[in-house]
Amino acid sequence: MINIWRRCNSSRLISGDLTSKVFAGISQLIANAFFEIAGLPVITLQSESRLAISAVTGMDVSNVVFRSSEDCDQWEARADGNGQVGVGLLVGSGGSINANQDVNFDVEDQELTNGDKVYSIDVFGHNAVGWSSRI
Amino acid sequence: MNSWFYLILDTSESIRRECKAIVQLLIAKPDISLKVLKANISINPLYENVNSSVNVGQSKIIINVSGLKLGLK
Repeated sequence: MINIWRRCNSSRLISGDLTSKVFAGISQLIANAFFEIAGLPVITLQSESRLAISAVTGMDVSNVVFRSSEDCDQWEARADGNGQVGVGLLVGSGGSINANQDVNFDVEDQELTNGDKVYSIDVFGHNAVGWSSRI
Repeated sequence: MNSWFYLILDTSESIRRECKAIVQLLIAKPDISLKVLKANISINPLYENVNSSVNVGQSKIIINVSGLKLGLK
């Protein structure tokens, strides 16, 4: 009888130990997921006034509006950077911005110094966690 | 919603407009001096090294913006 009780108690301990490990694992997964979602800024473009510009006054600028999912301490916009921060022509930058508020900047013809072509324009935001990625 | 977009830069449109303006000027004042003609062209740094031409009737006007050379063929 004592042996049976000991066996049950022992299995309960093992069972309890497993439960706590599983719980800790799930907590870690949730924490990781939350960190991923809430940590890095996610930049989304709201509008672009022009998708093609020339050197003609009035047609030589495209106004871009974007938002960040998180507060940022700095941001930058790059042309021809292949989706990489710090690469390509700097066509816009700024200091701190608030989450979910419109931020706008202009891309001018004279900033696109690689000649007539199609440029990809990327916007990145930075906070304590790091730089946003191209989406 | 993306974090990037494509932007086209087409300054040749500007060149074409400049050429049209020059041609109109030449038609209106065929004896205009090169000096006056140059004064009527606004040069944008982006135009450098761009050659363009416009057909006017049987003639072709070649405009080399980089060197500011204007010629008639």
